[in-house]
Amino acid sequence: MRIKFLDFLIFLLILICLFSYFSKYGEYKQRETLEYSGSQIFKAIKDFENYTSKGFLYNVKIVGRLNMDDSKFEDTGFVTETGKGYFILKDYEGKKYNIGGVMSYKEAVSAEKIIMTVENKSTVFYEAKPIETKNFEELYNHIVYISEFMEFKGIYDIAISGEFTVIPYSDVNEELEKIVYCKNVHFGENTLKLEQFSIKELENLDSIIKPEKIYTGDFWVIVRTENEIEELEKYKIKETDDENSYIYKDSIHIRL
Amino acid sequence: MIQEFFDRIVENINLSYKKSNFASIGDIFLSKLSKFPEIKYFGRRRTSTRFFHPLIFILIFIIFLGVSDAPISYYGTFTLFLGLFGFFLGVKIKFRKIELPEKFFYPSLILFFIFVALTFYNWSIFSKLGLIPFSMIYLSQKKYSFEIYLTAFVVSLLIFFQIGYWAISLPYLFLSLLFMALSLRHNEDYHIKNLKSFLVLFSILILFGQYPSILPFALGYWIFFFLYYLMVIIFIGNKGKLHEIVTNNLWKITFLLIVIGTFYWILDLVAYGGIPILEPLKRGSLDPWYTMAAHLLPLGTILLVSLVGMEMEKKKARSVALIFVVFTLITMGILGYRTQIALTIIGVLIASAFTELITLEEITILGGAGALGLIAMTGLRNIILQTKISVIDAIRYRVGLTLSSYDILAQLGGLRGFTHGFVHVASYPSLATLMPGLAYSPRRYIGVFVGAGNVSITSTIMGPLVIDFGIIGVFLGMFFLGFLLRKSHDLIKKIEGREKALFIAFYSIFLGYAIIGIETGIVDFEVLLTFFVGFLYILYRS
Repeated sequence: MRIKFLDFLIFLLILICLFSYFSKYGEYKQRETLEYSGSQIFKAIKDFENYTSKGFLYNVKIVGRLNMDDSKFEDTGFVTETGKGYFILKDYEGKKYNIGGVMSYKEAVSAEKIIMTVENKSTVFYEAKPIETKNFEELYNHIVYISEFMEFKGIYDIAISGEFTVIPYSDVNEELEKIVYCKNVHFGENTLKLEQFSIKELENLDSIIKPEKIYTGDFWVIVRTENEIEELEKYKIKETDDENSYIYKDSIHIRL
Repeated sequence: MIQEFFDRIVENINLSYKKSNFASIGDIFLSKLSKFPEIKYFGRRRTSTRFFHPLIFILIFIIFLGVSDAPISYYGTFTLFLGLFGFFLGVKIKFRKIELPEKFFYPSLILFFIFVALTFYNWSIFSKLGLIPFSMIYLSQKKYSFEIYLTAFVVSLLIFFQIGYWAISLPYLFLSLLFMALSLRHNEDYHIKNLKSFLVLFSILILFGQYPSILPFALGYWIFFFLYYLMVIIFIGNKGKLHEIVTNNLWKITFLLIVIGTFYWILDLVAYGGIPILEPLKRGSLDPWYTMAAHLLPLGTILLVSLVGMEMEKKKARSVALIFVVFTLITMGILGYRTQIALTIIGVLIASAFTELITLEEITILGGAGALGLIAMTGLRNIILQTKISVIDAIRYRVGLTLSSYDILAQLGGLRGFTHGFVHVASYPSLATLMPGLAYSPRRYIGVFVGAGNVSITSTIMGPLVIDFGIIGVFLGMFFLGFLLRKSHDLIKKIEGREKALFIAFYSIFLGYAIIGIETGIVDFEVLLTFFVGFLYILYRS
């Protein structure tokens, strides 16, 4: 078969298009960081939801444009909420932004590039039994103490989720909104609701709420480790709840 | 006596049709076509039909990938290339005929009935096992198998519509139609006579029946209207084999497609009460049935272009084609559906190349103008919606979004699929209600799976396949598409005369929809129906 000039052009076109496609793998890394183009907003949100459900701590960098005036936008923070085609980013100063895809026009920011960095390697969930403390510092010490069994993997961060009765009540929700390392925090009618709340922020709670008494219900603790838990280590970790009287039996589960 | 009664009805139908105003309008329409002016050719280079070989699909798909602003996961990319490989095999592999000795006929029939009985005991296993002897009936005996499959078709339809057991009935519906198409050409005169009697009987039943209980396969009144004209008036009212009837009435069929398309386009605009292209956000409120029927207009135009290209003097044929193409582009443009505009442009371009109605120079100019037109429409939408990105970026991001949606579906679909046919069945809204959950349209289902909520999302031609049937479905689905395009392409070369125009139109529509489907997917009911009817006719004629 004789190859004509047109065949050559078509072959060249295929090569250029394949190169154009595959070269973008270098542009959007998927190892240390997970990178998405603004058109991949749905995939990014799926991954955020997946990592959130597994209790991982991750930060997200956004490069894009403010829809209000089309000016450049670049900021890093945490995802506090996800929706249909958008998510809420809270930056390190506590400011919240509604982020949409590259073609969005309803949201505050249209993202051109989304870079997700997962900060810890594995997570261990367990359900802790209720306790009574005078302040959040005491609660912090208790959580650190009952999580010691994970020291051998290096603890990167510990987060808690649950409802806590705090006396006395004060309307401080506006200040609580500024707390960065958490998914959600709300104080109403003596009940403080925390969602994936990093315990390093508990100290701030003492200064904001000024509690006299704290009664925890059953609450979930998420230990985020510095090093990855290996498959066989999972079984050993799961046996810990037999020895630890502050943890509910069979409540430990591990996410890699 | 019954046969005589049927014959008398057929004669009367034929007579009343010939006397009707509708038929005379059709004749006037055809006679006016010959009075169209001539249009001279611009340029001399004949368009090579090599440009429109089925494999062009792979080239366009790779360009599509190259345009994307971001890559998808390695797994997603692998499934895409697997699909393209399946398509390539479908185009290249030639099947040998499989036949069984006639002694297998009765054992197959008996085994099939045993499995039917056992289906009452365990439907999941035996309804699937029954498909084997059901297929063996055709392979072992062709003379009377048409009637067996016609009966199976009607019974499956009744099960489907009356009881709603779609998992049992749909495979049998599909296979019985397939084998009906394959077996029709064997002993055709006998089958056609039976089929005509069946259709007359069915038409009488319709008169006494109450929609939709006794009218299970009139899937909507417009389809019923169209099928009724096509089958009862054209098919029953004429003598000869099916392909002779179709060929002899090809002009009438073209006229019907254009008239029905235009009629429902007017109805659609009246019901909408405005100009949909100027209100893109409100466009969702167009009546889906009217819109679907209006989409017959591009099909009619493509068929008309093939026909005039084959049968009329070329320069006159060019003016007929031009006027109808412009008319179709304007009407479809007003509805605001870019897909139909793209189909008209691509389909007419392919049909014109095969009928030598267009030169290479003209294709270059028209292709450029068409692309600019589409970009202008996208731009217009962007201006109205106030997005702040360039048109080229909008295309790149749109491709990126579509591929990224496919990626999510590919992860969900896995090897054997996640929804097992749910998305494709939802292309017909009433059937979607048979499924658990909310009755969405296919692209809205995809929107839900992708995480966009109740929003229409495109996911490439392979997206619906991968979520429904996994990577096995992607491979087989694309293989089927390649096979269908190759078959219709081969028939253009094989068949001569007026019928060739039909196959040129089929191929132009299939390739046109396949190219457009790269982005949008093939999940619209009328598109699936067009593919299926075309596929059956191609099976019958190949």
